[in-house]
Amino acid sequence: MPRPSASFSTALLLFCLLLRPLPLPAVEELKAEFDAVCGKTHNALNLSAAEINELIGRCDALKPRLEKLGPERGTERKVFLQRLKMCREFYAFALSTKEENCP
Amino acid sequence: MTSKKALFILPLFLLAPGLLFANDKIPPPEKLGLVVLGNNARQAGLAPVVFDHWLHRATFTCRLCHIDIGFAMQAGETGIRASLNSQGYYCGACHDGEKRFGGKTIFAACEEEGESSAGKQCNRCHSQGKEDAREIRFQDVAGKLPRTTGNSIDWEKAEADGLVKPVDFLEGVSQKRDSLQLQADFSIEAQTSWASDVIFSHKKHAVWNGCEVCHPAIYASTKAGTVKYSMFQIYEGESCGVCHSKVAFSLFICDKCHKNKVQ
Repeated sequence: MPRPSASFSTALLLFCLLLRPLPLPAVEELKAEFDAVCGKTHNALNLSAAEINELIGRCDALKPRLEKLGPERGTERKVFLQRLKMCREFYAFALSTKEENCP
Repeated sequence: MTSKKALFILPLFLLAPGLLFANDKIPPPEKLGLVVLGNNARQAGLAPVVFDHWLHRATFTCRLCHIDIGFAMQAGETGIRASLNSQGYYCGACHDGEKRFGGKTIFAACEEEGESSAGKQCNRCHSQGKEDAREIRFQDVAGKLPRTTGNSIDWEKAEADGLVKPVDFLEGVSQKRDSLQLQADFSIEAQTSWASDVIFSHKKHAVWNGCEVCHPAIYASTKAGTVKYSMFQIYEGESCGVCHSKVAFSLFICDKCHKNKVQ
């Protein structure tokens, strides 16, 4: 049986590393970012348009990171993605409300 | 009869039977907000779960369950399973056999093995057709609380009187938030002469629901007059009808929203 080439082994190793579940600290980091970003919905209408835009940007940056949570964290991924969606949509709503009221 | 008069009178004829039987449409107070969760239970050989909103809303805000814990607002969309409950999701966020409320430990959601492993414990929720297995009955909760038209619980008064203090934060689940900045109340002009304008209170709604439950999913714009809702649409489950008559007080208690008496 032929031995796999070094480049194939490296590629396989990289692939496995990419597929591995996120370690716990990384998950906690995601949750901390989620808390920081979505903890301002109650006060969103008092924020400036620039601040709301920044929060929307952070929501968009967080989404693909949450999507990478592995299958063993499938429910966590589903719940947090849904919460993030509601939070992001509310910020977009707050932004449009500000624009409607102060065009 | 002129065609203009006919256009005015015809809708009244169509509407009249509904109004005449309006009282029949107010669900019995113990059934308001009752949800039967059976999809996965039946597959596991268990009786469907009978979930009473009145029991849980006496203790928790709507926001806590529908945003932080992630229960969908539409039936069948959450995908609750025993395995997920036992990992601390959905019902298991509170029902873990460890968390305490009101001086009592909240019982744990049943294990995946179901009835055979936990027996009576499972029946506390998987109770359709086993009403005797339930430990807390409507009267146990409602008996201490004020009532409104249709004998439903007057949650607004119950909270104002300090009889219920719904919890809005669950450690390890909820995120810490800025304090709620309440928006002003406003009136919505009634499109008829026989009902008064609606006084909408942001305070009453936002304290229990937060902001994201309603905006933008139910109300996409706050600009006055952008969207007009008729009572027909509301009866069909749009706008206020997403919650009212299903979980919150019945739409047939007109004066709860149409606050000012018609002169």
